[in-house]
Amino acid sequence: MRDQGNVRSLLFLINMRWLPLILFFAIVALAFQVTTDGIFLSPRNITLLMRQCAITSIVAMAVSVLIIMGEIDLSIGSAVYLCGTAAAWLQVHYGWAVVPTLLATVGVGLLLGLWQGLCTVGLGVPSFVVTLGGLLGFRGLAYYLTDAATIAPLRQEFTALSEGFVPIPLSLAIVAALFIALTSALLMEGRGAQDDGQTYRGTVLKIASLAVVCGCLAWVFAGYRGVPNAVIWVAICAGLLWFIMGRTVFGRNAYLIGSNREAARLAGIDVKKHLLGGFLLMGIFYAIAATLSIARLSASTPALGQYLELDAIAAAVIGGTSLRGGIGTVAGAVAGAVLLVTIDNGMSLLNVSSFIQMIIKALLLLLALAADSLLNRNRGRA
Amino acid sequence: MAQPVLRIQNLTKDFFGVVAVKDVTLSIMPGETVALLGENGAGKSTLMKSIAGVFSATSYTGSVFLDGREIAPCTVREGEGLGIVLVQQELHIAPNLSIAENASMGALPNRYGIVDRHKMLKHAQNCLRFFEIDADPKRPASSLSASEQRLLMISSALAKASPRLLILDEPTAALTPGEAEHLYQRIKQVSGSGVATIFITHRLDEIEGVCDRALVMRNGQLVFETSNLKGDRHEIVRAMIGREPEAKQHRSAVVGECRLEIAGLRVAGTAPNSKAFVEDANLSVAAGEIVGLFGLVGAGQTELAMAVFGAWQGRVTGDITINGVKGRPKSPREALGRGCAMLTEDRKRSGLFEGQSAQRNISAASIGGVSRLGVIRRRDEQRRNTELAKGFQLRPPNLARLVETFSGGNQQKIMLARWLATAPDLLIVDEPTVGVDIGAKFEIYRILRQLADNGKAILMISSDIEEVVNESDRIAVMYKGRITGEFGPSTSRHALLSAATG
Repeated sequence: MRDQGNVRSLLFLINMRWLPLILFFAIVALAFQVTTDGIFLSPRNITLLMRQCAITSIVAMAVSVLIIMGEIDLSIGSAVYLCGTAAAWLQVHYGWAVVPTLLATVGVGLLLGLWQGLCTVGLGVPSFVVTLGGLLGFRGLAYYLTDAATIAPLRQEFTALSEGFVPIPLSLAIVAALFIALTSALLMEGRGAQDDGQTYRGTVLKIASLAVVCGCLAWVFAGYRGVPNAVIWVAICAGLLWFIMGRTVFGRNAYLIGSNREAARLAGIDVKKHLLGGFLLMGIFYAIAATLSIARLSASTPALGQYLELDAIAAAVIGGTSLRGGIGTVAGAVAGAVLLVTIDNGMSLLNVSSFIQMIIKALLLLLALAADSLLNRNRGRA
Repeated sequence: MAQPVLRIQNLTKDFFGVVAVKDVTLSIMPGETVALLGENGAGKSTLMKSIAGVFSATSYTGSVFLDGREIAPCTVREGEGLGIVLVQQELHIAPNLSIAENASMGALPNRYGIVDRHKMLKHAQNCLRFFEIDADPKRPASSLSASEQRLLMISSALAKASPRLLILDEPTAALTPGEAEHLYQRIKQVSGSGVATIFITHRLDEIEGVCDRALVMRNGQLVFETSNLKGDRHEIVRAMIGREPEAKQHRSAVVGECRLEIAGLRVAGTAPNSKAFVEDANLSVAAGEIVGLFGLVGAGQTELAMAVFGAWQGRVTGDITINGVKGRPKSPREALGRGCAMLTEDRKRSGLFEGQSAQRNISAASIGGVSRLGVIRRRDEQRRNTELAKGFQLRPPNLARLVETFSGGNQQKIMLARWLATAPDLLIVDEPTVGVDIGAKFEIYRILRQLADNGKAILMISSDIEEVVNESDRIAVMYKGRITGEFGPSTSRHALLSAATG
């Protein structure tokens, strides 16, 4: 009986859905580490990798919200480009400061989200079609307004939003604070879980793995230049979205709407309002991703955001979001993004042709979808 | 004397030990029209599916003779090849495809994979001509009326091989009275060509002028047979029900104020000329009582309930007064706000959130009650839901489990908990014990009685006569969209079924 309990808590810790992803990640990391003669797992490379993941992570977590609701967004890259162009234009041609630019970018993002949301909800056009229109239309609009020009250069303070670093002592303090906060949360959860009969060991294992992760983070940040600002953005966005999806009525209803829209309607849930909310949320994240994108290049270029939607959706699906709706997590989307960018990074270090990189990403996506459908079949969902 | 086209001898079929058809012997003459009658679960469909090959001949005992020759079809195709054509209740029509394509569905005439349009059109024209339907086979199937679509399906089924026996399962359930009349008239042609027809139905008033003979089944056995349909109506109904059991102890209802009042309700589909599912319905339900709404397939109870709950997406006219406030609810949200909740008929399709935990399923309609400023208070949610689960004796009492891992009975309890958490004054339950094992059934009855004792008004929709008779304080019966009678608690089953069959 006791052995059963231990095994169950171990399985509980490593949620069956996560296991393949973590294993795959470990294998990939090891493979790259070996083939790049140790460059891959250096603090410098990992820090730069984390910064590279930022944009994809942000759009991946946002699109996972829409996918959980049973919708999709194919216009992400173009919307990000349009927002970025607006921001760059305001800065370069009108000399706007950082904060007003940010606010204006969010405004543009919300407008785009509102437009797509109203078309989907009000006109009843499937989101696939609406956002396909956005994919073409938003980029076309931006090209038209700017003659497809590159808009540069941006202020130094603006570029620092993505390229800057948090000083090392402060970085370590943040990691420590994070560890303490999460440990106490796990302890409180553990105490509550004990009433349900789960073993103490589960909590200990969770805290132990948390310690390992924080230890690694500390090593990475201390070893190079500290936490990249872009990662702070991702952490804040992820935290916010995790809270919304996990602890609020909106997030809860999002899962229900994606799981069974008819049942949600009959349960008195205002489906249209929630869908619109999802698109507006996506709009805000367009703006954040746009800010980081143009800050990275210190410019808005015509190729900005190309294929970003594919990366976003692939990351979300790899991270466990089901295209059927009702299933998925923010953490999973981020993990998927990290995996995708890691493979990008590793392949670049190995000087693999970028064409082959595209093929490999496609195969990865197929693998993730096949695994998703197999797992879902075992659960009894057709 | 002519040879019977169909002769069944001592056919017995069971499903894993549960006997569905017991020792049935009957014969049908060529060109005869027979009505196969019985309540839900009497064994009518099972018997017909057995001889048609839906259930393999190896799965039942007894013999079946077609035109004197013993047959044993193991698949539907075999059955069709022999000349036994079974048309199911659900129409498999693709509304956007042409009439011709629908008529040849599954057997498109082709030459090496390329469709032979000419042959397909010819076939469709023959099918249409058989029932004198005037339509262009190239037009989409949606341009035909419901009865014409069914007739098309019938003629294309008949065209598959030289038919000897045509079996129709509830053919008029989804048709208006005019369309039903049209269908029966046309079917008469079929008997003209020597094909015997069997109607599986419960609509006694419809078949009176149409059928030569009526066979009644109950509990898997053939219990009555007559050629005098009109005169023997009383006996037919009695045969469907069986012996009147002893009067059961009913709960003594303490009736309070009126929670639901329906007057002149009419529920129709979205299209302007669509059939009315409910016509001129008047009903009231008071606090503390359980009103049973009884009716068989297609009677309109679910549509009535959906209209009351604000969930009907077609056209509704008439008065609905909930808790003293007049006005038809425009959405489930509004209905819930006014104190009305509804447990739907098909929990898999419109109730359960599969892939989500029982906790989330229970809170689905009432999350606002356990949250503040949009943030869910998880401890409050856990406390409230655990209390509900305990009150219903949910097994296992683990709310973190996914809802699809619970048994049917426990799933139904989770659904009841969901609606109860909205603190309704009026609770509508549509087929509350469908797909629920016998033990959980009685638990659900106990819960409903308790709710009524606590002052809730309950409208219980059911097509199970036992359930309705035992659990209701008052019974209203529906047939073809109208309320055909209101009865007290000690009404005979006979009277109820008479009202439910016209």
